[in-house]
Amino acid sequence: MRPLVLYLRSRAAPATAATVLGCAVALWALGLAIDHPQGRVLTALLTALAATIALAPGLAGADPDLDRASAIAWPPRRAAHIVVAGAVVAALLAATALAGQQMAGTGHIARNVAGLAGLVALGAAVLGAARAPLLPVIWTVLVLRYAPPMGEPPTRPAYKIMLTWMVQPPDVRSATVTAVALAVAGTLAYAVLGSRRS
Amino acid sequence: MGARILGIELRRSVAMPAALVIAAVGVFVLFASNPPYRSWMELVVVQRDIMQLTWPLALAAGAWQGIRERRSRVEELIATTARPRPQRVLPVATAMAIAAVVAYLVMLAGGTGHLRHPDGYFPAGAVPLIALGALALVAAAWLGLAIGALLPSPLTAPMLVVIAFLGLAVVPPMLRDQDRGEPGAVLLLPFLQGPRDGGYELQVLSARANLSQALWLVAVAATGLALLAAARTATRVAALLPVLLGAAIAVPAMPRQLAAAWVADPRATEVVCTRDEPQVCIARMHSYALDELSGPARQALSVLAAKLPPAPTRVMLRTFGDGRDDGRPPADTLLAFVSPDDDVLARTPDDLVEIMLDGAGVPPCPNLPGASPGKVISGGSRPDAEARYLAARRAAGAWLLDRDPEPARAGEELDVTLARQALDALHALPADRQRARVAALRDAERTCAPGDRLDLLTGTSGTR
Repeated sequence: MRPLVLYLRSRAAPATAATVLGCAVALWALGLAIDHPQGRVLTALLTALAATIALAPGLAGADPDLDRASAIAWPPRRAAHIVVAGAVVAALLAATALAGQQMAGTGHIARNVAGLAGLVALGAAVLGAARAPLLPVIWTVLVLRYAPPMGEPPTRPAYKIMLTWMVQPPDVRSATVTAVALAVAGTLAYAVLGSRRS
Repeated sequence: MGARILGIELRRSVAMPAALVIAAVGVFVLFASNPPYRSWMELVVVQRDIMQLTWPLALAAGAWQGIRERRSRVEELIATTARPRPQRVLPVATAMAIAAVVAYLVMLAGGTGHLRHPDGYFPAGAVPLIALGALALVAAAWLGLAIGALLPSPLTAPMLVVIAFLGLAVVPPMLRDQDRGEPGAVLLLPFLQGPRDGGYELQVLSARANLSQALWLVAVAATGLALLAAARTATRVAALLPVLLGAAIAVPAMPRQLAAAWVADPRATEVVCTRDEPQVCIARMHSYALDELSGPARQALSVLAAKLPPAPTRVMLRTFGDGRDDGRPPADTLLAFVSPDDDVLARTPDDLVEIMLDGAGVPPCPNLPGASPGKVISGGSRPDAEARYLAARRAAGAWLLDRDPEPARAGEELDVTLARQALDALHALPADRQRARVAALRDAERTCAPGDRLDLLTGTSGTR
């Protein structure tokens, strides 16, 4: 038990948890304030983005050399870290439905959190933990021009659906496939490579 | 000394990479979100509109730079230096400001690749719009620097993007009034949406709106810089003064409704003419098409000279709804109208000749049924009188060109059928009677005399 507590502390888990909780509360509060259905979808996506990028700083420890030198099998632990963290974010955001009207369906939230968490993990492996949010944030912000209040998500061709996966309706198959692929790729890259040293 | 430090900051800070990312994102959105822009004004306004996206990014770039000392764990070391904080932060603030301006201008330069006629009319009113956009990005970068310095967390920068984007998306609909539209206070937001009626080409932002917006943005930038330079809590509180002052002056100075901030640009609809004969004139916003128009204009004039003398010697293409005098044109001028968002070059020369010769080269009369220029012809059946009037004009053009009326588009079926009948009736007559009938129609159109034009053409007056 003690190693786990120490690990979580070294990865800024309390601060991350506080941020994610803050996002969940914000989602609930905005759900009370915004009643336009398209505004609700946009808010749900942006809150999921905020909660997911909060995981980024925790993907690197304080001292990469110390981590490397210790006789610990990091890859499965790193994979477990990102998977558990993503699941907690999705669960917390979905739990806001218990306290009021739901902003977005559970499946919708789960898809977006999975894909975005994969992007964060990929960003950590490629750019380093501090710059990891760059990838999901830029992608989402670019795609939001096609989100409902500002435009309509494209319905074809397939590559456009896949590029705008986070704003697609929840039942679009190729969007889900893209999110899952990003989640798997991100988890694998982060598990194998760890956070890039910046 | 200062220049050397600035040079180092430009090379070593996030300024240039951030400028690159912002410009790249902006160019991508400029290209991806719209078909090619018809005018400079449209491009410039859309670039301001997408600041909903680029402004949060500039804010985040500033914040990323603002937490540099914490990230590199040299915060305490730097705090021990004797150099006062304002002097220390000025070079990095200057570097970020340069980056913001460069990003905005590079974005605009990239956007011109998506402009149909870069040689077209560039209104003077576009210059303040560009300058204010660059100023808004500078304000964002400086505000971001201050926020990053005050909240040095690794999450500050990405969270600022999300929060600013969400804020910019959610706030304007909240301010919108169902009946009266947006209040002028939305000009406080960094992005600017074009006029609601979409007439980018015909309008510019009023000087009053530009000035109050400039004042507000300068106040925001000043607050950002002062917050960054302030080392003590008291000075930080004092640093909020410019933004409060700016709001207190700018908000009352702004127009009450956003719609009032857009004013007509008279220069855009002024006609410019070629020097050589025959003289061709067109609204300045379409002046890019002047060279290509001379062929169709010459053809239209020669057709008129051959079949319906005396012919006019000058061709003028004006814009619907240009707010100019709608008096009848003199006999030496062939006047026709195109719509402001019409890309004249996208039309074929044949099409242009047909537009010029509609109604035998005389524009529709405003006092006759449904013939007001600028009226958009929508689907569905239109009143009979209107169809008869337009059919007569169409038949006159087709008679001059010796061809069938154009195939009908949606909502125009009745016009075309009537025009065909009139044309058949006309062709059944001897040549000089045909000419007399069309000349009578032209004279009636010139004076806007009341009466049914189709009857005039077919000679069945009295049956209706």
